[in-house]
Amino acid sequence: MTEFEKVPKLKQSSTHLVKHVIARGLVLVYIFVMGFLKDRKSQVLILLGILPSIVLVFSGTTFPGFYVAALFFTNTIQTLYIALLLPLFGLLLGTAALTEEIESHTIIQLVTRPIRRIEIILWRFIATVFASLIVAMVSISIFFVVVGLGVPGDASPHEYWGIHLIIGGWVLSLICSSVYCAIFSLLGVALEKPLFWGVVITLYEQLLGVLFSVFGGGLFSLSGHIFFVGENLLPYTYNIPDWPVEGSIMLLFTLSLLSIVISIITFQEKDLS
Amino acid sequence: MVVIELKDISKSYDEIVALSRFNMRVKTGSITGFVGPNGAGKSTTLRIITGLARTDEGTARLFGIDPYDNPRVKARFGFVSEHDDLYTWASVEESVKLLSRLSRPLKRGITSDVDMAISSVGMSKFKERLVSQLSKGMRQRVKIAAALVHNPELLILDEPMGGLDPLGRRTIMNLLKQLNREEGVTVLVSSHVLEELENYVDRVTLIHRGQTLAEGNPDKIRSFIYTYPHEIIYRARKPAMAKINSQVVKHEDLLRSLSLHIIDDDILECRIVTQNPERFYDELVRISVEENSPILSVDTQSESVEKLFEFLVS
Repeated sequence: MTEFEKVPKLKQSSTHLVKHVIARGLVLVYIFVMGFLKDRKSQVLILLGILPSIVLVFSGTTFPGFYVAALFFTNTIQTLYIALLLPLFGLLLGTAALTEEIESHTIIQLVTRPIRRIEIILWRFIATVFASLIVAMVSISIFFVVVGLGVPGDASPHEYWGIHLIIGGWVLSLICSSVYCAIFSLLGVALEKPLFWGVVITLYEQLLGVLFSVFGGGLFSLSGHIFFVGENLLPYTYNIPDWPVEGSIMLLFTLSLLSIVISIITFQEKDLS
Repeated sequence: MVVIELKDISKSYDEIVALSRFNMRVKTGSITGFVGPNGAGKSTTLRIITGLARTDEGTARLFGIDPYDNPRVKARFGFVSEHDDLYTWASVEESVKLLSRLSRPLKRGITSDVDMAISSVGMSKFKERLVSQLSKGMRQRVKIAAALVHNPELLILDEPMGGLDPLGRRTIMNLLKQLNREEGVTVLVSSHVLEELENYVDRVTLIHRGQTLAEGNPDKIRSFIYTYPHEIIYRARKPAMAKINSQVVKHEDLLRSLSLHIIDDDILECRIVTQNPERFYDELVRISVEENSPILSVDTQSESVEKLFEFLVS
């Protein structure tokens, strides 16, 4: 029988454990977000995010009054940011989330420290959503100002700042980022070529999702469900016939949760080198 | 006391068997060299010890605990991998500090630990420099600092001398020796070159094709390795060669084969194969002096480490 060195067992209260997990998590988020911000990819994403604002400024477009500006802002958030840019951010950030750590071998530094693999996945997911949200919030805020909102206009005091629009845009970005980052993170953990499959899913969203929506009215489209939830946040109209908004909320939540759980299970058993 | 114990561990990647019922024990306070050719299973073993990979069969215990399912045990060791696994966007100081925070998130006074770790590897002057701007040798030192910063009881290094010049290798091995002697840190260091380690380690484990080939102190391993037939080539002028070889052939116990080649009108080359090169060199020098017959050059045909291990297995 082997005699190992006897070490006194450390007594750790649950509060101490939670403090440890949170403190370590914040370090992980810092590492992930700083890595993202110092990477060229972040600059490309920020540029993509503010591109609509740049186009608007250079085209010299102006909007006569608050309501026209608010309508343009809402439509752009729905058709450009939620339907295209945020899925793209999710695709690039989510698929790269763990793949980059594995390819650059930095994952070794994490896994050989006293960190549970579940923590790495969860904090990485939070950091990815956070990074995507930073880009979305900065882009949407710039766009908000460029469109001419956020300044006194001719509407009622409640509306002319349009604060509810920008907050709605941010919240919708958070939902959208969370769902896409969860799904694409799963691809990053589980598949050999995550970016390829990510593009396949995005194409499905853009092509087949539209096709199916003819029959199902957005029921088979992920962005359809996000639009439907977003209808309560921004003043636009989107409807999935015979389907409650609670159903869409549950579906998005379940899909994201399931993706994260499968990512954790997959990563738990993954050999790293 | 034992810090690492691997019992009958097996590991395969698809069709390739990396480890086959491999056993290993590392005692507290020792410096153990883990030697084998490329693809022998060294990195796989270290991956299992550090919890990066699971075993297919057998048990791996670190301080008596399975490292894969109990990450808390990882606070007790530091690992230096064979890869460049540092965050290149960070400075030396930030890198070591962040990685230290992951090991001890609530520890106070971490800055002094970071300074000490950086200083111990001689990188204090470069602590503001970005990791991406460092040479291979410097990055290797930063990796060691990051592995030491939380004062581990055990240090595991996978091919730490890879890509380093001889001075860099000696510096790292001296550092490990010093850590072992002064701080009592147990060290497990892998390499595919025994000569790099033999002057610094207490024990050596030879691994080949996922199995233990030999275990013991460096002298025992060295004598084991010297059963491998070495080819020695020496040149001399014709009259000198005749005198030398008339004596050399008397040492039948040392010779496995001898062949003579004409280099030019005046010079001959002799190629001999021996299993005891050290004794043969001694004898050759003695004969040359006694017979007053100068040798023009002596060379050895260095075989690849893979061939050496193939021979030892056979």
